[in-house]
Amino acid sequence: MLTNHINYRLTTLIIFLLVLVVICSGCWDRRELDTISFVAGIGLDSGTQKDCIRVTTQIIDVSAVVPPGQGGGGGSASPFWNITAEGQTLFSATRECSDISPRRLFYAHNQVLVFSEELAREGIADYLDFFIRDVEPRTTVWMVVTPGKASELLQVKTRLSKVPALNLNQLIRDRSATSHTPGINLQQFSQRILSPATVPIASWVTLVDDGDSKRLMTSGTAVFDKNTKMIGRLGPVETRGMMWIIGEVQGGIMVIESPECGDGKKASMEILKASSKIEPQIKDGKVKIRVKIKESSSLGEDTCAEDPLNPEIWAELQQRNTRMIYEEAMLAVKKARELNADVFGFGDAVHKKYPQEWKTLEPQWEEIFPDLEVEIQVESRLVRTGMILKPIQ
Amino acid sequence: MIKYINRTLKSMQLRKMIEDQSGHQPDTNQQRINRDLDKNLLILQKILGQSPDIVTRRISFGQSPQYHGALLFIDGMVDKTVINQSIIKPLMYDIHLLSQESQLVIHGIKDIENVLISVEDVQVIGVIEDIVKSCLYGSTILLLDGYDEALDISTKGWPARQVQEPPTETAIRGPREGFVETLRINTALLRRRLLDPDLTIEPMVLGTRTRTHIAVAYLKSIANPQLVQEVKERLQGIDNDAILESGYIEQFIEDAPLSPFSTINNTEKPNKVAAKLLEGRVAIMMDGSPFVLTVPMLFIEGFQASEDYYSRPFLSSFIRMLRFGAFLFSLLTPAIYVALSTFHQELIPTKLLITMAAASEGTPFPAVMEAILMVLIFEGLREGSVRLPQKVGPALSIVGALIIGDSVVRAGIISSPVVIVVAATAISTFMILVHQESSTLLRFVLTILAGVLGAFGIIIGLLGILIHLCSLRSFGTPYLSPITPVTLRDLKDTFIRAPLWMMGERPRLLATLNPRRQGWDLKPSPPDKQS
Repeated sequence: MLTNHINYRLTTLIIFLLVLVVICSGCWDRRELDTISFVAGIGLDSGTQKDCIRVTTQIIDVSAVVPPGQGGGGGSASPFWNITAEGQTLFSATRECSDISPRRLFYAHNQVLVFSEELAREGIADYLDFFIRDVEPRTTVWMVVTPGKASELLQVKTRLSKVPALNLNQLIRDRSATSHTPGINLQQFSQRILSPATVPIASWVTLVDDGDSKRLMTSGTAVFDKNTKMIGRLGPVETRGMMWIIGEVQGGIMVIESPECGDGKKASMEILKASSKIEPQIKDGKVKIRVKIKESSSLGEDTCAEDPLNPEIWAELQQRNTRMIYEEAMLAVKKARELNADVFGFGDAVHKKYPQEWKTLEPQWEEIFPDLEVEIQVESRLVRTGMILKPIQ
Repeated sequence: MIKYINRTLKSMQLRKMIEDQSGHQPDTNQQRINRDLDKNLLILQKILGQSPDIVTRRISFGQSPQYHGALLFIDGMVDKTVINQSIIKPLMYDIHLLSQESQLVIHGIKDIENVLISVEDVQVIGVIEDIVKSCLYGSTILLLDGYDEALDISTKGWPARQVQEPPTETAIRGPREGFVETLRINTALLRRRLLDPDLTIEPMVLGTRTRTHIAVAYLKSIANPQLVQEVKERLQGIDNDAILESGYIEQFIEDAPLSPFSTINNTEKPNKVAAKLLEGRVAIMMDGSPFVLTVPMLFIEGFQASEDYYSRPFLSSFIRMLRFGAFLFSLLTPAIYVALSTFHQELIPTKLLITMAAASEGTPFPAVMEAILMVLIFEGLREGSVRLPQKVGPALSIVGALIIGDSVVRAGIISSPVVIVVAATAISTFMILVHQESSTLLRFVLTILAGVLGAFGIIIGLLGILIHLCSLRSFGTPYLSPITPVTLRDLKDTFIRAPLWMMGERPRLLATLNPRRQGWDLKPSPPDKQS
């Protein structure tokens, strides 16, 4: 009985101490929803002073994006707020932003990192470290380069999705409609930096001025060199060419001359799915790359009165589509050679298949790449015609 | 520490003194019945007091008259027609219908019992205490002058509730009868479902003042004798003066009195008790309460409804999984909400986060306070709707719906996601059958832990609950069985409810004497075409 009592007391004491441990060590990182502000996008420009970085932080003003009827903020208020601050390092600049924001900045929901072309051409490696090292920002953030100032891009009054950064996120997510821009997040960007041959790329987003309003548009790729300095860009079609080769095309429309009809009649082929395989070969010390692209498409639009089910026409449609893909891919190869930038990861493919030879190839890859023999084989299949067979005419 | 030990020793001495006095026990009277009627009546009057419901009816009967006696009963506890028709009438009137010779045969109390009293249950008793006990339980006592024995004639007949459908366990499909407050009716209801001579009902009286009649029911050839023995021993160990409800018994014999989880099951339905007995469990019934206890109870029983077995297995299985989901949901939802919204905003999808943040804009309290406040208000509303008279109900729901649901949010005091979360929690609690108590209490604990430590706190809490559940036992059976320790065969009746023809054996961990309950190969199929 006596020991029982002491046991009870001891147990109570232990439980009390455990509870104390939990309570005393808790709460320190508690942050209520109304004490933090959510960063939706970050724009980076070169600073006005020397060696300074200008950071534009886009914060979602939650009270302005509530659906109507929920009370709260008025409809006319801007749903976002851009805070601009300068600092010698990126981290210090973001903390400067905190001086302006009354609430703690919360980076976990950041969607885009926008770099101005000016900054990108100087090199951006210095500004990525923070976003990878810090615990809050995610590496799934989209990498975007814009020709103008990043702060201006984030200033645009976008439609539908009222916060420019969220709008941009949607634009890049829906890239498969045309495949005119790659979706490269920080993770993939970093992997490209770390790779011995492949160069980093980023989405290229321009600001289109309609006169009375401005809008955002994704159109192509910004290409960096191994020192993460931007060296050039690929246009929309070249971008899709690159995506054919790396097997990233998820959709899009190929416009081809309609067979049989001629006289400017066109047919649109919708890309259903595509894949690619990069096969390097080394023969007599010479590297040769063979790219096999497989694609299947559906007849999305046809203006020629001929029956596409006619086997000859069917074959011809496939043939022309194949040709088109080949040309797009070759355009990309040509441009990459011009820039001397291995955007496709050919070097990595060689490294994987010939690890021994790669040791000698690696130091001179920049000399080898422009003259690399690239053979592209396209296998395109037309698999569907949509809801009707003959065009209505 | 020494001080503490001294204090404990002192309190132990004190306790011993009190035990010696045994003040909580009423005096017992083992005195034998006197031959003198008046003396007996005096003694009884002294014991029973002068209460107006204690009726003493003096009668004289037989030739000239041969016997002088008295009937003692408690008005209201007895069936007066039985007394009038079957005791007084035979003694005073029918006795004269007997022939002279037969009348002469009647010598003494045994003959009166055998020849005259036309009541089914009559016993001869010889001790004053037995008179008191029987009399208080609705018997009529016939005392005769000159005899040191009395007749205990069963005339029980107090107002009893009709057998109705119990409000706590309504059934869509299945029998609607429920137990009532009278033990005899209850045992009859049970026996009507188990026409098995092995159904054993052992009587017991508990509570020194309430003298509550208890019945321990089990199937002799199925229930593990050790279990039955354990139940009886624990029941005998109850040294209490009042057993007013089976909850009293439950709290005195349960394995884990400090656990939020109940280790004894209760039900109001005879069909459910019959099913439990057939699984090898033991039922404890008591006079005065329609709630029958069954032991041992497993955690899984909290998710099994008797209707699961009456309807076809597919929907039953689905609903059972739904119940598990509801249990976890009601336990965790407020906690998860608090953890996500105050610690792990990165885990909330961006769009949802924006909406949530917009809703909590301008609300004065931290999320954990909001959640606890709303859960408290909900518990209050629920408790109120149970206790309040029916007519006040609508007023309560109006206050609940309008003030809490709408105005609080509109006034910006509580954010709307919290109201939604608490409402969702409330709905899921309605699906929990047995573990209401534990889920209500642990919900608070988990919510506070989440408010202090976030998801880490929830994990600590859940681990604690799991460890605790694993350590629980109910009358020797691991509480979490058959999930852990795992008994694959018994899993047929846990998360899913397998078809009846697949469940050929009784739950294994109950160690029944007769594990097989049905034949082999019972899967129904149409006969072959050839035959």
